[in-house]
Amino acid sequence: MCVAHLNQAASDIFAMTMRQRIVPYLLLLPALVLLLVFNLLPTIATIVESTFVISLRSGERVFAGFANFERIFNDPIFWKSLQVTVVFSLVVNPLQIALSLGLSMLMNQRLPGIGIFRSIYLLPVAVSLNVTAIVWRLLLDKNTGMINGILFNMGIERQPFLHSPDQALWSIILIASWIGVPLWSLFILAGLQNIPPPVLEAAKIDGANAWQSFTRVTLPLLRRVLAFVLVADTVANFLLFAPILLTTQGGPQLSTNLILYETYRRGFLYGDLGASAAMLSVMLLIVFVIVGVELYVLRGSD
Amino acid sequence: MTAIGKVSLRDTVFQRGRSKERSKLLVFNHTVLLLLTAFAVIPLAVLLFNSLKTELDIGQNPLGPPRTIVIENFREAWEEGDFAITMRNSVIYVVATITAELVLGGLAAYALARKRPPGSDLLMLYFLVASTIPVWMYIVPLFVQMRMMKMLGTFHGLIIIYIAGNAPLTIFLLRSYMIDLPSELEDAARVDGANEFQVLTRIVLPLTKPGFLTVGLVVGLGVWNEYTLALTFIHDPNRFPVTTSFAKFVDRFDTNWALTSAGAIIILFPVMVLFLALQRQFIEGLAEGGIKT
Repeated sequence: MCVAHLNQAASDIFAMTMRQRIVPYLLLLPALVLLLVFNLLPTIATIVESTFVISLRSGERVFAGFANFERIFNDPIFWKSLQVTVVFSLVVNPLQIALSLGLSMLMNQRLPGIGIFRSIYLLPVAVSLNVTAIVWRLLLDKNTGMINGILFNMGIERQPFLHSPDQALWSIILIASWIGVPLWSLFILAGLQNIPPPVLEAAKIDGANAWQSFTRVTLPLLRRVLAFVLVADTVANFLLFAPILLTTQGGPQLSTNLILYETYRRGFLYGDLGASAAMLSVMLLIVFVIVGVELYVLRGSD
Repeated sequence: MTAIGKVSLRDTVFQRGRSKERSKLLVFNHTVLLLLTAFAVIPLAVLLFNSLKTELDIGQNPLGPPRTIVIENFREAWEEGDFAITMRNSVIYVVATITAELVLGGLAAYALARKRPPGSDLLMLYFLVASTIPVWMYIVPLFVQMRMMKMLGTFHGLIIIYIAGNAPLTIFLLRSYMIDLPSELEDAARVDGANEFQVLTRIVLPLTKPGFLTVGLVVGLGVWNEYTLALTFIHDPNRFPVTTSFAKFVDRFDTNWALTSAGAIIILFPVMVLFLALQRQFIEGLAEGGIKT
């Protein structure tokens, strides 16, 4: 009887731990199934597609190994597009992150009327990339645009902006940052609000100056938020698309032909889906490497 | 709890002396703030001005405020863009996506933040990586797949794609909000006899409300402004979202800036109002959350 009792208790415990082990996976299941079917499988399908070509003779889809990759690696337009993307990324990411961090700290201060400033400053976040691109196309127009109107009144010659191979990429950086800076500020601001004021007070009492309390207290406490912003920002900019489509379409002279736009151009405008899939695969690999390096650099205890 | 946090915040402001240096800093800060808000607002103001002008007025006076206000643009844009239909559709897409996303994402994030089953780290890495995948990476195979599943051109088909596309970021962010919660509160509830479901709905959810609000806002904005997927998977004009209305102006009335601007304002207005209304709650929520560490 005593043994039976023990057995009962043991199987109860077993059932409980089994349940405890399974429950978390059950909670994860719906999201994972959706991701698998509508995200992961089609992504893998694209990578598989990069090893196929449409045969010119029979019109059939045939396995081609790395032929598509060889094709794009021998294509100067692909390399030019990568080069533009690297230059763009090296400028836009440090710019956006430094500005977002600085401006969030400004917005986090207790100043008269700060609530109104904060609301207006964050407003571009709500504007779609399509509308943003269209408005900036208006503002940057050579003859009728407001920016040139201001420059003209200051006695500076009218600039072509989006129509010049030298200025178009910088104009795209401006457009991307109009949304990007407030967007990332939203996250950093949330992180700053999570720093308890007593911590900063304590640093002050211990004799830390503003710079010291920024580097020794604020930055370490923002580490997780900043890591997220850094990764998300680099990826979002690496994969910038809509503003290019709606303003320069990669031009002039391919000066704004960012990598994602090039894959779109190749696959959907020229119908070369094999090369497009190969480019997308290479692009994804680059994104993974960037994210991996950033996570490694920013790795912490948790 | 909240009250203490607010009082101590206010005290620190009062304790600071208002020296000369500080007032100089104030002037500097306000100058930067004014420049910033101008940078944020000018494009929107130009849009608003142009939406109230005639085409002729825009041509002669592209920068300034309208000389005579023309409300007519909005009526015309509303009808040309079929906004009565697309507005309703977009509300359906946004509300359905946010609701399902927060439920599915919330459950998954809770499991990852609190239960930490074996493989959690790997899953987190997968979510982070998956959140970076652009739609062009999977749009072609997904189209074929949706056709096979007979979900092409349906509301639920597009909504499911939106949910899946936003899930990695949602789970990633919600988990980071939940992991900051002190688990003592949950343990205390368990000791008092609460079951797991009660712990989730009575303790974890109320405390992570600002997190859910932020994620809901980000996902909602993303869906409201989404264009590529909608255009690919929806072909019936009766199911189009607002972004297709706007695209119509850009494509068809390329030269008519008055109508294009009015269309843009119609799309922006509801999200702006919602964003401004929620932002206050969102920042207050965050300030309340600030003392939890």
